[in-house]
Amino acid sequence: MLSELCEFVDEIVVVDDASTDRTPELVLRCPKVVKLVQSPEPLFAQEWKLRSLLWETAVSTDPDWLLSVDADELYEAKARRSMRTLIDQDRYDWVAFRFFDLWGGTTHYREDELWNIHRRHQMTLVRYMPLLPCPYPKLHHHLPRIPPAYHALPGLLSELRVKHLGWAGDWADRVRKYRRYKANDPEGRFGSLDHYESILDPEPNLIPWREDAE
Amino acid sequence: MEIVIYPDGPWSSYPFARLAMLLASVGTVHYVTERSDERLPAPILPVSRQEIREAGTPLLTIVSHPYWTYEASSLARGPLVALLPDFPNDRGALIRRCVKELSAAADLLCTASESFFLEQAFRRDAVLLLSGADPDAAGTVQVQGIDLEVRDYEALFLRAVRSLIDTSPPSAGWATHLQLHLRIPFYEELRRTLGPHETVSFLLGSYEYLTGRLDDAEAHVAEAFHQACLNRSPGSLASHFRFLSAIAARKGDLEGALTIYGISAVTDSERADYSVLLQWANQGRFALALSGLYRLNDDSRNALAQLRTPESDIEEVRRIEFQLLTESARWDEACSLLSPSMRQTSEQRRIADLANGFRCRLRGQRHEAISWFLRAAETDSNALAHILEIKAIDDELSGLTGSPALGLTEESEDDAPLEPRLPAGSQADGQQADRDAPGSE
Repeated sequence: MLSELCEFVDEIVVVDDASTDRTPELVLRCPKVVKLVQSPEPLFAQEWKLRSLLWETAVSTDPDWLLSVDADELYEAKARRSMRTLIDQDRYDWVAFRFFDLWGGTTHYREDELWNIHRRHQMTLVRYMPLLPCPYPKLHHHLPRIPPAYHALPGLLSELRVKHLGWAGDWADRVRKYRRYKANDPEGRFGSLDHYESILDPEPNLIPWREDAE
Repeated sequence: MEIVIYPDGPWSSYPFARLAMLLASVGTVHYVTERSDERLPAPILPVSRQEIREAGTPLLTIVSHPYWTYEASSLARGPLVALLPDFPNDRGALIRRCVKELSAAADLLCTASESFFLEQAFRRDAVLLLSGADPDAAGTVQVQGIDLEVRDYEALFLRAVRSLIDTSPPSAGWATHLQLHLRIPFYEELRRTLGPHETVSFLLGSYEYLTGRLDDAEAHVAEAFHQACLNRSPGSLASHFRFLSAIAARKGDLEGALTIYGISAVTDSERADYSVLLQWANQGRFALALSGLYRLNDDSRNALAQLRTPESDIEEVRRIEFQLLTESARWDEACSLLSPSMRQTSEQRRIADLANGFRCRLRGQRHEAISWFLRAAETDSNALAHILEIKAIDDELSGLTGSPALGLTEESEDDAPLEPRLPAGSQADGQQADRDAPGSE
């Protein structure tokens, strides 16, 4: 993922949420990583702290534009080629993309009543505005990844796509995730219980993923 | 002191009847009416429009309907107070224009609408909100030997009226300053109760801005913007965020102010305005840039104040000041700025003719007003509508009092129409060269 990012970004800032594997070491090998911040304890359950830390770290580099990327997201080739054009203008201050849940591999995405995130747009690319007040609401879950104030600015809803690989693993991987969600949120306070159960659907509706031709 | 009330209808439905009774502690109160069946309580006395014209004693004029603007202002022989009920924006263009002109002409503007109060506080001195947070009595006044308890805003209103009578020129700006300060604890308490709120925090920030508490204003307006974003309220960049540019300007940070305004400039016209501001700033014409910023934030008071600094270019400043004053319906001041250089193009002449027409109409000089509107109509037939408005207002006033219109107001020899400034001995547009305009050489 980092190597693909390096194709179209100038600098990379990483916040490591107390990982226990070799992630930090691997990250620092990337030549475009200019900052790595390691949280001493997991902030997963305090999302606003994690988002605030990431935002403050990123803006400390005084960027022109910011792209918010999770570790399991890949921008399609067309999006990578378009990135410079998207930021080289003065009509809009953010860009939203369509995210697709790749399922059980990288050849198909899932689409059904509970799995349809690609029908909406997510804002991940923003023009940095130092004077725009940008506090995150103090919520522990379901925070937007960009500060809410940016939603007030004019933006572009693009049809460019991002592959979310969080569900692209095998069956065993999905079972592990299912068990973790059920353990952390047995009553469905932070997410839908139906959604959790659907992780184990034996025959989900899958649609072939087609990359646009070069 | 004789006090005359131009009402919005019969006494039985007059929204400020209590204030009218309290005014009896200041002077003799007369209620304009032509209705034979009008029943007025003591000590309120009926008076006809003809009787007002014939009276020679000093008057305190109270206007409670904007259609009275031209008649009342032309006959006023003392301070003029606008005591306005709420007029929603959907009442039509004519009444909105009359409200604007009355608001500009009044020595004291009083309203029960807080949004209108705040809007006017950004434009002028001496505006009062007829509402208070404290339900308890703030004092008593004596009317016909009876002690009447008054609330805080009523006591303030009476003191402001006395201040108008006792000072020359009439002045009651201190009352506005006091009331703005008094609103802050009210909104602070409301914010404590509700928490950060896109409206409450913004109003608190507005009052803090108006009273010079700029750091607090900045914090609360930013908070209001944040709440508006969380609520996904549309247009929050213009309605909330942009105001931070005015606050930054007041704090002396022009660069920050321009940047903030630039962020909020989304439409083509806003971007064009931003380009002009940047151009002025880059040219070192900081007063113009600041004036423009305040104007784009609807703070015409500070916008005008910036134009009266020594560094300003005279000609361009005069044009911009003229524009600001016409936007605020301050016709006398606007017309006093007119010079030959501001009548070069047909569009400039049209605007100047209209401004003179509105000025004459406000003075009750109907013939002159019609003459100016006809001149404007040579290039813009829409100007004829302003002539029809004179008749329309006459008809409306008949309904308010139940009488026909008085007709033309006679011009006195002192009321020479204001002509554009011309070099001595020159003529233009058929005007008489020997007619002196105020300030001409």
